[in-house]
Amino acid sequence: MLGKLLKYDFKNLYKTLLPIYLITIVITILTVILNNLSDTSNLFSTLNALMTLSYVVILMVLVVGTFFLSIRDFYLDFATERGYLINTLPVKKSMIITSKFITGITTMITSIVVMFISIIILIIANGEWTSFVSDITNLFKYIPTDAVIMLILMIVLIIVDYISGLAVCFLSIALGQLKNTNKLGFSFIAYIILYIIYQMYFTFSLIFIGTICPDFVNRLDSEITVISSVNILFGILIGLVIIITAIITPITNYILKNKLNLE
Amino acid sequence: MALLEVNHITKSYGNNIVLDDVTFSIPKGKIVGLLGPNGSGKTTLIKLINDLLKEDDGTIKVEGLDLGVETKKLISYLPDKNYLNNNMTVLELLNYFKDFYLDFRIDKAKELISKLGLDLNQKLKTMSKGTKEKVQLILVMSRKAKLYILDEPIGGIDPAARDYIINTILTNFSDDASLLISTHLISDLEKVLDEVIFLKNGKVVRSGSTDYIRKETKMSINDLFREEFKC
Repeated sequence: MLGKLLKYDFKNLYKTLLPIYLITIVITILTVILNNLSDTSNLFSTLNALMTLSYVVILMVLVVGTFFLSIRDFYLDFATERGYLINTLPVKKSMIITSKFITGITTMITSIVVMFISIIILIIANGEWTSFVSDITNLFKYIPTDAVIMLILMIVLIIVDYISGLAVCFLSIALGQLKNTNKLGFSFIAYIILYIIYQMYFTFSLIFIGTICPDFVNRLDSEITVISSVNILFGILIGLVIIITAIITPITNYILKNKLNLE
Repeated sequence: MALLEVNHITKSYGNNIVLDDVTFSIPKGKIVGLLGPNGSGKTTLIKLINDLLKEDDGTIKVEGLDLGVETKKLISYLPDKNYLNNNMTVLELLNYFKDFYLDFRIDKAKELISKLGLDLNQKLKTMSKGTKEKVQLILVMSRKAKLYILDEPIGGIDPAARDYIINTILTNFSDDASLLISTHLISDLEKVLDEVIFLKNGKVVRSGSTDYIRKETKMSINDLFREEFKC
């Protein structure tokens, strides 16, 4: 059943996202063309400025829009009339939530890939591809192992943090739908409260680690290199994000399974 | 064992008691009318049976099972609103139902859609409200479910379309299945109902077989409804 849920959730999201991807690539190509023509006349120069602005806007839409679409999809399925269909399917709530997480993270990855493709097109069009490749190659040739680990940990942290961000929004919606009126408004209030709790959790957890392991903090200051310290910090943050997500998600599942309120 | 058992169900929204100690059961092979004026609690009760709301007190069982994934396999539900994704085509919707409901008869659905003169590739958003409702009904009635629950299937529909809908309902559900149909338009449905449940201010005020009630009260169900719910 998860496969079937994923099929329809992906279809639903990509119906909106694919045109945005196409527009991103078209705007990238137009930016390149107008950039090359900008020296020939004032008109092209003005158009180039406008197109560059549009390019920045579309990249923002790409990332923010993808996140917004995933949240909107969850909201529609659990707090509006569309929920009459998905919540009467012979499928476990946990499966529906899992599908939303998988589609949410996958669509964000594809949006970021499209963003990188767009940036690479700009680099190639500006004739800087060879120097770009050589810079990257040199970077990885001379980069210390710790820095490679840092890069990997940073990517992992971004991914788990995004999943955690989705989890907080999903829980906010689950809490908001408990109210009979203005579910969206209450979801937003729930999000603000959860966000404060979320930040407090990180602050107190780090203080706690520092308190119970003072030697560890001293070691960070003295014996380990800066990159190694950052890696340890990233590792701790990844652990904390995973723990809070593992706490939040079952609560969302419990509410939607036992307290669904499609009034 | 009854197909549907509703035992002492109570549901409130804040201080407003919508359902108050509602108890009834529906045996197999019956068409049951859930009758009551607007605001009597019909839709809330139906949503509770479909696990879209949670009761404050009481239990609901379908074929002896607590509400959950297994009971959803047995119930085919038509809400009183458009609940389908407007961006989907008719064919996509048929495939959606086929994917999730093992008892969905896609050939039957295609036949009914074709009789309606609809294009399978037409998107729901391009259809009129009445046509959308017919498509929803076709999807729901094309399942070979044990219990069909239809919430106001003829509410707000012109008399000609009502005949189509009633006919579609009656010719597409099997003998061993039961049908719970909520309505306040009794005259169109009275002749097909085996049993009725009268709901007033969240309470069951009368229930039983239509023949018995007619004999006992010497009134048609429609007249009795008007009498019972006189303003």
